[in-house]
Amino acid sequence: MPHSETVNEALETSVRQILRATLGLGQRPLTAATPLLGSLPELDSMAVISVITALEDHFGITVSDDDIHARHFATVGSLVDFIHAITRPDR
Amino acid sequence: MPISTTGRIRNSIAELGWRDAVWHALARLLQRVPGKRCALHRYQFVAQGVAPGSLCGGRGKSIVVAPCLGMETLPPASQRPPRPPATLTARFRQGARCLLASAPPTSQTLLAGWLWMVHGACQEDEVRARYVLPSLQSSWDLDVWVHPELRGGLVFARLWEEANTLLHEQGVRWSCSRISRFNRTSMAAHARLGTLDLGTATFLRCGHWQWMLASLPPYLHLSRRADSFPSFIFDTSGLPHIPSLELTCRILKQ
Repeated sequence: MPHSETVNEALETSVRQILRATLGLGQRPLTAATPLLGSLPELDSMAVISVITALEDHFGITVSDDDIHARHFATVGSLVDFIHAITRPDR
Repeated sequence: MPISTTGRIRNSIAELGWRDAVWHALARLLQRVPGKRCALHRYQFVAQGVAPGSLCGGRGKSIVVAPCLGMETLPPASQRPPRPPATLTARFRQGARCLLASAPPTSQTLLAGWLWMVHGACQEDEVRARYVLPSLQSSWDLDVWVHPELRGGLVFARLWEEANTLLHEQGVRWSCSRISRFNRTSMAAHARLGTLDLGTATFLRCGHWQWMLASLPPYLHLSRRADSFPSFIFDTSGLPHIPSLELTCRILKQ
């Protein structure tokens, strides 16, 4: 398996864990296609701040205010892509 | 794929519970009455603690929030949510103030959101009802709106943070409001913010007639004139004080 795929899977697993812990989702199934904002009642604009803070703490990143946008919270996959773009070494 | 009627009913019961699902089904049926002559509204009254502190943790400072005290300082109709001018004028006439959130310069939208507050008493826009706040330590908030393109961002948190600061400086410790029991997202969001439930009321309007059934005084009311409405008294003087807004944030993380 290519290294980048392993990294992506690990990142997706971490993002799913953070979503579960921050939003109290328990063992609810979360896949890359799972819709978030507007579909997950636990995720409102206030909870978005909690998720962003938890992601920053976990990955040691800084998310700028301008980047906190609904499009990144459309699905689990879009959130993973967003975090991946920030954590990418060549960024 | 379109959802079947049975599926819709099942979803509605799962989301709202069977009691509110039945009311919601009736509300949807009444929406079909020609001329919008009939409507059913079911409200949950809540109190939200007002306390010092930051809700955004220093985020969102590029979103400027400023007070607006009259129609002349509201953005033009093309930029604001569709509210009848008479409704907005009536709000200002009863002493309401509006907080306007301006989007960052990078955004395409000018008005990012607004939030209205009124002290003492509030005349409801949607049905004939009056909410009375006898305690000087309470306020009423209404019509919290965020531009659809900016929902999920920091606008709501910045609006509430500024409202909270302003109200706390004025000695307000509880902000009361009503939310639709059919809006599960809003109900859940308020519950996560640690709001206290103050009661429920159901309004059925047909033409000039209005029937009201509530879990708090005056419990029942029937009217058919504009100047006849139930008054609900929300006295928050007996409620405990919330020590800080950070407590709300901790509740959010639980």
